[in-house]
Amino acid sequence: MLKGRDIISILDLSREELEELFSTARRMEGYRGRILEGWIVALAFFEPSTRTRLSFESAAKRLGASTIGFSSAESTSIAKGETLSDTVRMLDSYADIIVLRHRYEGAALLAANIARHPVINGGDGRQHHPTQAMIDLYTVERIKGSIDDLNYAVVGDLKHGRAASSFIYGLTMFKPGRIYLVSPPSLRARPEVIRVLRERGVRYTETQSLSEVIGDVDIVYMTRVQKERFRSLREYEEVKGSYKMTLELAENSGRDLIVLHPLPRVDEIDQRLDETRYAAYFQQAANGIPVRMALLSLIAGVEP
Amino acid sequence: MTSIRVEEGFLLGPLEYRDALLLAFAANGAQVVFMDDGYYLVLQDKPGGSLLASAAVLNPGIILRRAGSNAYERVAENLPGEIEGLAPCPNPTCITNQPREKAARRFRVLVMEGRVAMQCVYCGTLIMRDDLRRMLAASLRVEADHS
Ligand SMILES: [Zn+2]
Repeated sequence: MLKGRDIISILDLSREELEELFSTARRMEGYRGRILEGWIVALAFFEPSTRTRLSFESAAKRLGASTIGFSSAESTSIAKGETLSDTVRMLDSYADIIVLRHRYEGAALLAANIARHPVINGGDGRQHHPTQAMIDLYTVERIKGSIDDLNYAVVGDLKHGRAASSFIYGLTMFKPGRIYLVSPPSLRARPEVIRVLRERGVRYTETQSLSEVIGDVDIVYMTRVQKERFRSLREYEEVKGSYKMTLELAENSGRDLIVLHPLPRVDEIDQRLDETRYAAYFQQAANGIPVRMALLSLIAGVEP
Repeated sequence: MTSIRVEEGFLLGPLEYRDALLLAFAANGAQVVFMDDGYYLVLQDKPGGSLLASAAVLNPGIILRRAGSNAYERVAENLPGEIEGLAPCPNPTCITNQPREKAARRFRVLVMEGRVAMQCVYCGTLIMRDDLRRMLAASLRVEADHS
């Protein structure tokens, strides 16, 4: 079903396709093979990234594919003034699958319109990060056994955070009990995200405080609230405590909750959580490999 | 097909139907001149000819009442699903606003809570209400009628 497809937004996939992806990912855990031998995956990272790029690289190599690419715009002909379109045309002639990250929203869609080969969006500006959402949903399913009927709190900068938006989009493909959107008023989820929640009849609540809703939550999805997004340092200092996941908060919740984070984190998760049953973020990071392996193999149309 | 009942009371506020008309006529390449009261439009459908009209929007179709007549007629079965090349996306970090990239401007036309809205196909930005009107007015051949 995913063979030859571009992956621009998690909204491009159906629930059935996501479930197929997850069952393939399950089989990819610990898998090493040569099913993509002879394939070349281009990793075009116009914006710096460590995790996403390295995990795509590992995923490709564990399937026997080779990778080419670059990890910042400065290191390429872009610095000499080449357009994205021209770079994509070049990569399209060198590689079989293109993974692209770019600071402008819509860059991956433009690339997909140009390239003959499949394009995977590795993050476009503040808009989409579909493979992160796949990993996040897979982690929930792996730990909780299901994505349906759980209550979620998505916490942090919901306006600029592409991981948070993509996770919310991904949840609308399932039947969550309720989604709490926890953010400062100035960093609330964008209107287009809210529109999808409404259109799909997902129950959601916008709130400013994690502690007020934690007693009703099964999954806490933490993201960074960056200082630079606030008008003043004082404003930031006033709210930052509301967007921090502490051990006390977890213990007092009375819930069997788990905490996710797309990483890297700064200080929004108490490090004392790391060794507890609440911490799911390291497992989540590790799940990046099998999920991306599954996606590459399904797009290539080669099953393990 | 949905049946349509037109009543004066069904008229949405001036902003909503003006937006819808602008979109519908922009999609057909028409020239639109509107007056400041918001309820009456002069639609110049071909050079030299003009037509005074008031309009009602029944989502998702468009109904129009010509001046001097009590009859309504349906001028668009539906809003256009997508419009291309209309105006710059209001999001400065949208790929379509990078002049060297040559990404065609494309917008989905939506109806949200009885109002017309557009969504940039590339960056997903929703353009609603005043932002939409500002964007349309700046890009269509729209003039206020001072006669
Ligand atoms: Zn845009």
